[in-house]
Amino acid sequence: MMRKVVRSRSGKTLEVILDVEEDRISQLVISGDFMAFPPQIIEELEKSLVGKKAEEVEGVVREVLKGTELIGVEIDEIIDTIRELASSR
Amino acid sequence: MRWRLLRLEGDAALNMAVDEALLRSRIPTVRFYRFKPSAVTIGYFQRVESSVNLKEAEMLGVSVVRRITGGGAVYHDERGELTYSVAGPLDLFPKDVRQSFRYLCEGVMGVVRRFGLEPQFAGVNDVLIGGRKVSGSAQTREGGALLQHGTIMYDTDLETLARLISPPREKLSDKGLGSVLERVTTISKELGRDVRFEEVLKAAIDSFSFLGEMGEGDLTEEEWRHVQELEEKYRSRRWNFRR
Repeated sequence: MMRKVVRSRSGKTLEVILDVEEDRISQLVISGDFMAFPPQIIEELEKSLVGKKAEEVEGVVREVLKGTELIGVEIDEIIDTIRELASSR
Repeated sequence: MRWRLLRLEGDAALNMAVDEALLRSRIPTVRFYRFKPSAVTIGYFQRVESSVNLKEAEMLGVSVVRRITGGGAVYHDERGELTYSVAGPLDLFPKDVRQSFRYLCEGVMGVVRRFGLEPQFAGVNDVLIGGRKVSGSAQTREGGALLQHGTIMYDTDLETLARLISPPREKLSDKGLGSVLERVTTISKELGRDVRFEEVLKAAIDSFSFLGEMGEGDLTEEEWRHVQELEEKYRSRRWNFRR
């Protein structure tokens, strides 16, 4: 299990916990003190990313979060943090 | 628009169950309450382990409950904090999320002004006095309704707050525990006297009347049923530790 905590540009916290098996994300939790509208979308994103490779992360995140209003964290920060962890093995 | 004014308060699970029931019922409501006993609430997306000092919480007998709204961890001091919530159909509020925060935080700004202090609106959802945070708010939207709730710290024990809310490691690396104390304040601290709950409540009812006329009311039977169902969730480890 890998964990990364980053401070977003707007001063909030983004924490990602992730596990990789055979180059694919096998477990993922995205947490922090940000807000997302609608909120259920973050769990949907976690599910959508399981089974994906690091190079697929950006496409999936952009697709799932299309039209989502994020406050306290930017979509690029989510992508970078997940991608970094997913490719760090 | 006539708003129902609700003065219902209890422990953290009950308080969060009531707010969620208000979101479901869509009856335009303004609610003011305390957490009895003091508790910590965490944002919908937070992990308990990363946002709260659980050892301290256990030692102090402070429970930790997850909200349905995003945002950060909040210490609700029974003797120093007033929580507000506003709920109702979406068409009563600005459509844009950031604008709706700004609109509803006017209620908080008005409370600060009624004590002769100058509030500043910061970021998306914070109210400061002299650059220090006195209030934070969080919001969610579901089923055509909006719920926003937030804190007004009038005499919160800030040392206990600093002990309970653990800042993320990235923030700790350059700033110590002391810095939490430097970033927050209370109305009492700013005024240099002990502000009483009744004064704050009166100011809050007055200030939030910018929304429209308010009349005291209670929950409907249906809302009570929802509260009972929802309380169970908010008392469960499954919900509170779900991330």
